[in-house]
Amino acid sequence: MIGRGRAYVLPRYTTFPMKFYPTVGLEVHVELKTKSKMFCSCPVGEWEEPNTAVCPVCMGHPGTLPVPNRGAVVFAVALGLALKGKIARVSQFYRKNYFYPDLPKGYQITQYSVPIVRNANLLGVRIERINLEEETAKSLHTEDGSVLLDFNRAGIPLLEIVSAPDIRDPEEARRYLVALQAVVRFLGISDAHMEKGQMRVDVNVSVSPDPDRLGTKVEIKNLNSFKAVADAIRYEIKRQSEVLSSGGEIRHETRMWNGKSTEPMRVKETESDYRYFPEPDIPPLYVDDSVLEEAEGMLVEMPWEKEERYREEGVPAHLASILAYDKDLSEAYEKIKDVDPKLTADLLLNVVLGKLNKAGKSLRDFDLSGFREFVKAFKEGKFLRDYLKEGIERHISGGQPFSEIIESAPKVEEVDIRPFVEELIKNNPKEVEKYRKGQKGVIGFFVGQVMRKYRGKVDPREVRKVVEDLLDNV
Amino acid sequence: MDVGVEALRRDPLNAVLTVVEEYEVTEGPLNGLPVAVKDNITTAGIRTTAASKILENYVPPYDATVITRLKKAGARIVAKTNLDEFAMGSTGENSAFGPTKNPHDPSLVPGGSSSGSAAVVGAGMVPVALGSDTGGSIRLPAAFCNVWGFKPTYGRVSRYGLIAFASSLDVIGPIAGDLDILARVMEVISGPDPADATTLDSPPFSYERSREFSARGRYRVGFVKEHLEIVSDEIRERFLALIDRIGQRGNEIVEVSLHSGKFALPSYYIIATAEASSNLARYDGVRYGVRVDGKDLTDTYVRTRSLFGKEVKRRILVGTFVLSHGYYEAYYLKALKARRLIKEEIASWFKEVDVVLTPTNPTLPPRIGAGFSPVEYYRLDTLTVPFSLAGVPALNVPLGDFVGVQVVAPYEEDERAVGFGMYVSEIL
Ligand SMILES: [Zn+2]
Repeated sequence: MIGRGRAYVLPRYTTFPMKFYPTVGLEVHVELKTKSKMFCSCPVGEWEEPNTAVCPVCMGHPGTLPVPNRGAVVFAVALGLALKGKIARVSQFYRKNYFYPDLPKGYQITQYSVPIVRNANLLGVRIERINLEEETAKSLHTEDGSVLLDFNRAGIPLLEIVSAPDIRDPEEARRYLVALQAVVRFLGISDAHMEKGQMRVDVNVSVSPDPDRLGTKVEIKNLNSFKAVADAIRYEIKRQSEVLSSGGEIRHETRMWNGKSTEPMRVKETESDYRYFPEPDIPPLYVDDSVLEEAEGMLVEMPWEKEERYREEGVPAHLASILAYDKDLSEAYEKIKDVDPKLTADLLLNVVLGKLNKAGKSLRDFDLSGFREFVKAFKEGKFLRDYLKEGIERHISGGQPFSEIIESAPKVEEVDIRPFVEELIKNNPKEVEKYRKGQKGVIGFFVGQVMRKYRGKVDPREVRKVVEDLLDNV
Repeated sequence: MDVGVEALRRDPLNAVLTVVEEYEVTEGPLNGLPVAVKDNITTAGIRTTAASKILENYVPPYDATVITRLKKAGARIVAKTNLDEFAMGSTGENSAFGPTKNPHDPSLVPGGSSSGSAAVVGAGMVPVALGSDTGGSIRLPAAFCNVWGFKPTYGRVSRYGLIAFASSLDVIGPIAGDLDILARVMEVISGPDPADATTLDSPPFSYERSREFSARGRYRVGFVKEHLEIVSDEIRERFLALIDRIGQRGNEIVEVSLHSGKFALPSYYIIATAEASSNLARYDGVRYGVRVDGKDLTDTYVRTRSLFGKEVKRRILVGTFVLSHGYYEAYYLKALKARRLIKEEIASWFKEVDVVLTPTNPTLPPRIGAGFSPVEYYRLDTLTVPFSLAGVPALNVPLGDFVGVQVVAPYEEDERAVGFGMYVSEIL
């Protein structure tokens, strides 16, 4: 959407006289977790032994032929439907020809002029095309300079999801990627772990002084995390803006992200001519009604729909937007929310997640049904609020089952703290005077004293109420 | 005549690359029939070279679908036969392992690219052999070696295990001294194959249907006007004599035209080389075959791929060029358009005729080492290439003395081509 006219505001330390309009496009590759590979019957999975999930077809042996995997077609169509794209009832595979040791046939089977999905949309960013294609082998560069190849990956179905240059800033790019990852995970078509290479991102950045015209496109590779993507975009917008401001020209090139900056690829890329032509070994690909129905059957609630619903259920907006885009967290939330949606969201995001991270664990190591009972016990008044954190901590770092944690919770007693608070007020006239002058902070002084005396037996919120009440009535 | 496994071992024609010494025979309708197989069809555990240095050491881990089917039907694979490297050639001279000789005159070429298969059948060393045909590679050597050779409808026989030259044109088919054996082998090797997405849904070839067609009598027979203008005099005479005899039997003879025929050879060589340039990219020495190590990756590619023969290199270069940016539309897309025209024109013939006859070879076989220009050799395919582009079935009927005639039938009507061949064999 060129000419939308949202200018990138340069950081204040720059003193450029010009305004620049950045545009970002993302090319995302997602590995599909179908049962078998794209064009042969080898299983898809993660294997310890290299070159064990291979056959003559995915090794590119002479005489072998590719037969498209219907399951992968269904997955591609499901993503297309989820993103409101146009599904091509007839599409065509093409050969993209180039030489590289990780490419068994000397060409990659991909799509070109008629991809299986066109004109989709994600969070307002247009997706121009989704191509169904095949993975290459995995290369391992050893210290002695040789290259080891693992063809277990070769031929795994791959979706290439190409956005229009609709993205304006690093944060928008990050949100787009988080959403895309969430969508493929919710659909169950990919695990989409960046660190495992199941999801890979290439970025195109251009900067223009004219909101109605695109600048020269620069491609950035070697982006291993969403943070790297955002950082690289930020860096590249600044770099290009500086080059243009000082009268320079942007070169159309591919650059590598090194963690701090982008640098031109060391290997000089010759003008690539992939000599695309229709794959003669595969007839046109038909998406018939049965494929369409199966794909429709895979559709689930999308993260933006979840977010809306969570808010309606009482989850604060900033928590809902995180919960809804994370498969594990949202599943955890759904299991417990009937006890108390707001409290569940709050505990999961603000307590559980942090403690799990610290302990180097994941939600999978966390006993959700036990946790549910624990939250329920709290709601039933079996223990006080500050024991929630303690209990979670004991489960995560100590491995104690929640049933025990509930059992050993300090019993809530009916304690009357009023006499003690009244005594405190009497003994601390200076603090009371400060309160009267509007220094509300001194409440903490009184609450702290009470909490020290009645540790674990009283709820700090209750204490605060009593303290305020009595102070106001002195 | 030199017959049997001993003859295959002696191999006076340089037609055999590997003699298969050990095999198990399954019980089946082919009942131990010895079959020679062109060495661009994979045989599990048996070296398969495509007559190229680059695959000199290649032992495939799997059987081609046609081999699996032949074995299951009780055939014995007895030899792998010589060919033009990667099936690129019309004379059999482009093999990295030396030219094959014509069984009826060793100074002449046997025709290519299925040179060895046609030669061993022509010499009577085996009753039947498999060949592959991309632009005439079964029919031309069958004509030069005086044997039957059949190019089925594209997709009627699985290509799984056929080392690709030009995927949209390649077809496997039988070469035989006896048409009945050819038809029986067709029954076994044809039919849909889940491993080849381009196979047709139609049922396997039916010997019975061929017989029925041959017994019908009274055919409307076409001949291609333009083709008779370009063949040599002796071939025209032999062809017209056959047409006369068919006409005397009360069949209707109809002249048909192939206006688009002039586009056939150029568009064939564009499409075939384009696909070949891509199909042969996999021979990089990384996973199988011969690798010649160089100082870096590019150097290794260059040294390894320098093992290709001259004709293969020429076609890879031409194919790479016609697919290149800026030339794709002018060459490749235009060739596809011409192909469509040819296909439509050939299909239209069959509104008026049952089959079409036309010579297989435009001239008699050249001498080995005649040293023509590449284009002169390409012209040997002039009469066979149109039917490859159209994907229709075509049978070479041997008239003897190095002359063959093609019986062309409509798309998927393979039984009609073979059936008419049966009819002709009775009146020859
Ligand atoms: Zn495989």
